[in-house]
Amino acid sequence: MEGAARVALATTVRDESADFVALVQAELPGAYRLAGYLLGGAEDADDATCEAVARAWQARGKLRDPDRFAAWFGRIVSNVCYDRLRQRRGIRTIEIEDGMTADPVARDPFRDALARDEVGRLIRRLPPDQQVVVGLRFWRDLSLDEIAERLDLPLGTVKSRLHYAMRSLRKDLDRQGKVSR
Amino acid sequence: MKHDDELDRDLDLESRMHRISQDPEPQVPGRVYTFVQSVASGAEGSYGPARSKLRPLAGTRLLRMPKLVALTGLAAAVVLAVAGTLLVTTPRPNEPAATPRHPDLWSALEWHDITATAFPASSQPGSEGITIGTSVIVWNGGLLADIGGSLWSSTDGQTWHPVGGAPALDNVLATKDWLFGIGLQCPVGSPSTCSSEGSIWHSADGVAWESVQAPFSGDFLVSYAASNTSVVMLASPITSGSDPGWSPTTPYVSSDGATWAKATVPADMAGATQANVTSTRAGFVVSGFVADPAGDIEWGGENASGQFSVKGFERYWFSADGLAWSTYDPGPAVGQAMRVYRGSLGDAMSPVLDGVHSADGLHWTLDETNLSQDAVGMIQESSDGTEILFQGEGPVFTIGLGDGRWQRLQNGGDIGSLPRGGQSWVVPGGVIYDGGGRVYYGKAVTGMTVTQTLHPGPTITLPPGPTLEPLPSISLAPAAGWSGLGVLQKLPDGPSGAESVAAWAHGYVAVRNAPAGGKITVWNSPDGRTWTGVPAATFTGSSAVVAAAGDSVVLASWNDGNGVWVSADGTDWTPSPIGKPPIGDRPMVGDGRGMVAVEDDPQYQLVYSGNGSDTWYTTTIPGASADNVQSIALSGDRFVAVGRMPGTSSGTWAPAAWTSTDGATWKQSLVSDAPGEGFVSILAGRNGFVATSKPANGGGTATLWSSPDGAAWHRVGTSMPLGPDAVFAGDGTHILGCDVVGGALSCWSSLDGEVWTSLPLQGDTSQLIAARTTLRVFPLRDGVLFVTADGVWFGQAAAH
Repeated sequence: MEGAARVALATTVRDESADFVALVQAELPGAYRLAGYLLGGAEDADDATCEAVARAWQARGKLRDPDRFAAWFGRIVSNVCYDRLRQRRGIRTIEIEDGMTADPVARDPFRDALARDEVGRLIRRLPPDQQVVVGLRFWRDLSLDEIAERLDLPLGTVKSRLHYAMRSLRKDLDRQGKVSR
Repeated sequence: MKHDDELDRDLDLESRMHRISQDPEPQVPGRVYTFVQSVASGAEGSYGPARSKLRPLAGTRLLRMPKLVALTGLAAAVVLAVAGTLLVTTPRPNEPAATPRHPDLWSALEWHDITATAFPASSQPGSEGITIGTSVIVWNGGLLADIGGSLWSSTDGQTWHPVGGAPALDNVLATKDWLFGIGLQCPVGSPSTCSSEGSIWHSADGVAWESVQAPFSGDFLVSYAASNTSVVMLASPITSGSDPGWSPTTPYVSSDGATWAKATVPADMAGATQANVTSTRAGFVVSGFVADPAGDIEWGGENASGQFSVKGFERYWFSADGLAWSTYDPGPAVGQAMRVYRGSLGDAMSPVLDGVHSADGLHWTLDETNLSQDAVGMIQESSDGTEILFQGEGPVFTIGLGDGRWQRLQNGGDIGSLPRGGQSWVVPGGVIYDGGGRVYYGKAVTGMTVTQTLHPGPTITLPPGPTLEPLPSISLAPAAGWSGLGVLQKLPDGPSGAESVAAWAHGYVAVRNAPAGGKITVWNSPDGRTWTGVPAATFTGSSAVVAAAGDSVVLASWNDGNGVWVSADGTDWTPSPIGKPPIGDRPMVGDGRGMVAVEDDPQYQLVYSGNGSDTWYTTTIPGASADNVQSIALSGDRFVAVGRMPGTSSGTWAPAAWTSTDGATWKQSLVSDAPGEGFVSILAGRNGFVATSKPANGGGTATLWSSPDGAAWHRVGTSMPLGPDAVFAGDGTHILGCDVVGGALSCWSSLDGEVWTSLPLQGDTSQLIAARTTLRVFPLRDGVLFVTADGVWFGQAAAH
């Protein structure tokens, strides 16, 4: 669940900066976690989180209600991840084998976690819009209502995306005989 | 209702999904916190150019953080326009002048929904709606797109036809004379478990496709691009478990799609990692990272040993033909990664923040216009060789020709609004937008002004409706409450597992939903006791609701296919002439005077109809959208919808109800004494309504409410032993609640939700008690239908 962020954005430059930092820092763990699992690596999580921070700072004037900062920033993070996932569609996916330890990029906590279960690999085959919904649902523990709010989507769309994502995953797992019956 | 094995599989899958992230949570690197500080201070912080690894994937638009930092001051002064409506912030010093209008560029897009006409229904790729894949390309006077894994062609962007026999492609690139296709996602040349994966394809006409032997085996295809005459692929070897992005790449080039040659490259290019290739009007450009301790860029990351970093330079190489490469300096305007879009007057990179353009594809200058205000939200670009389209959040669209000028396009047309979250492609004469499972075509217009927001107008296929007369008053005889039920009678052909039952003029219709991928089951009954199955082939969809419509009955389905059907006898069903309105996912209610339902997707509004069979209208709820609505009921002279709205305290929710006497205009009532909650269901009795509420975060215990009119609500105070989590149902006359209490099945009924009467049960209830988790109850005109997954029972009601 999202932590409540109730620090009012002040009007002076100095206060604005401090308040922005306070608001963002409260959201960084969740943002980093979502980006890491969605994008499949700590380095991409690092990049995406920073990009989201920069976008948020640029667009902070759009935020009229500071109490909504968590959801607002979460939407930016989701969109950054979506953009990156979508732009990846034209390339080969990188398959990470279990237990890879070669330096310098091995032992990435996100990659390790995703590689541990076939589901973690199959998620990356889903369309980006479905990946984002799956990530928010299972890795950010948001309710469907919260996801709808976060993505500015109708609840029905969120439901259908999750439905189709789970259906695809089940089919993929069925093909590999890895679903318990 | 899902079968047990389906539920088990879902639970297994969901638990596996959760387990992925149940390891100790990765800690946010300290440099990210440092970056936050530096951004907010408006100065370049210690994070500086020493960034974590940026993997320059093909098509990835990588924002260069130092530039972002430098631009933050400017960003504070921009005029922010979002979502088609102009939000003007207080002007700040140094606010840039308004973007000039360019009369020679497109000025607006007139949008139309082309889903129904663009794609032959019999050939549509999936019941979930139309979703265009990676690319829409303009080639030889036509268009090609991958849709649902299949290749489609069009001459105008508005009518499409499947290309029979084409392979499943992940992407298509075009040279002047031939097409290059990429199979689905797998390493090229490596063993694969999927038929079309790991393949590359060639076609001279877009119809006949030939598989091409990759010039490398076991390597990863990390990037590719096409020019007018050639295609270049970059391949990296897989070495000992390392990320191929950190391996050197080798370019291969082909001028015919069939034969490939290994390129000759300079020494530094041969050792470059993180490589990416793109094409400009002059040829090909590869960007890559060359490790060098004296480098001005530091790529970093974290591993089990902690943080690591590698210094080096971002380098570029150019080749006119893809074969011979030389070092290239695109100049300081170009960021770390190149992604070039071709326009009629030049090439352009992303117009956001650091947009640059080039007349010759070699020399780059900053754009006249930057679109930093669109940096939040979805960013997407496409080009058709003439126009370059930028899609920002909203969506809002900006067009350019590659000469550094960008023009925001106004959105007009005959749809209410464009759904968010879609993707767009520019094609000759317009823009194709794919969102919410539907496809829209925006016809480009030049030199005219349309309203800033889309015209208020019909959404999808449904027109906005008139304000109707209030529901005609009807003379209802006072309803008699029930005092008990007769001996339970098992119905051998009853609607086992039914999740909704509707009473209508000539009997009852019951619907059972199916697991994903299945189809609904529908039964018809003249009296609630004898039931007959309706042929399954009649309907599409795996979920449905059903409601009375006077002398007819209406069924709306969703999931695995939307549809609306009407029947005058409950047996023969006819698809509604309104086509495929996205009704679903919420209750639908009606009687002979009118019907109300909730759109499922994409516009998400209420729809209402006088008779449910021919004319439907859209309407909205003042101050809310239909996704605030959870349930609808009808009793007497009013429809009542319930859900939730933001509470009086910031950040909270409150239960909300809306009432309407005609289905078209609605009034809201907010229940302010239940902060943090939302109504989740409503049931109608003859003299009042019952609703349940739950904490809006989805957890917690439900609360039972009642209302005489749907507007004023209070918590039910009753000695009835049923909790709000019992099984409830209402048919507009009787509200029924049942639960297993103290090991016995206990049922109560009410006409108003306030006064409840216990209904003693007769007969064997053991099977109902055993199946309590699947038990549903439905009040019929003269009794109660008890439905479990395996059986159906009827109890005749005794009236007071």
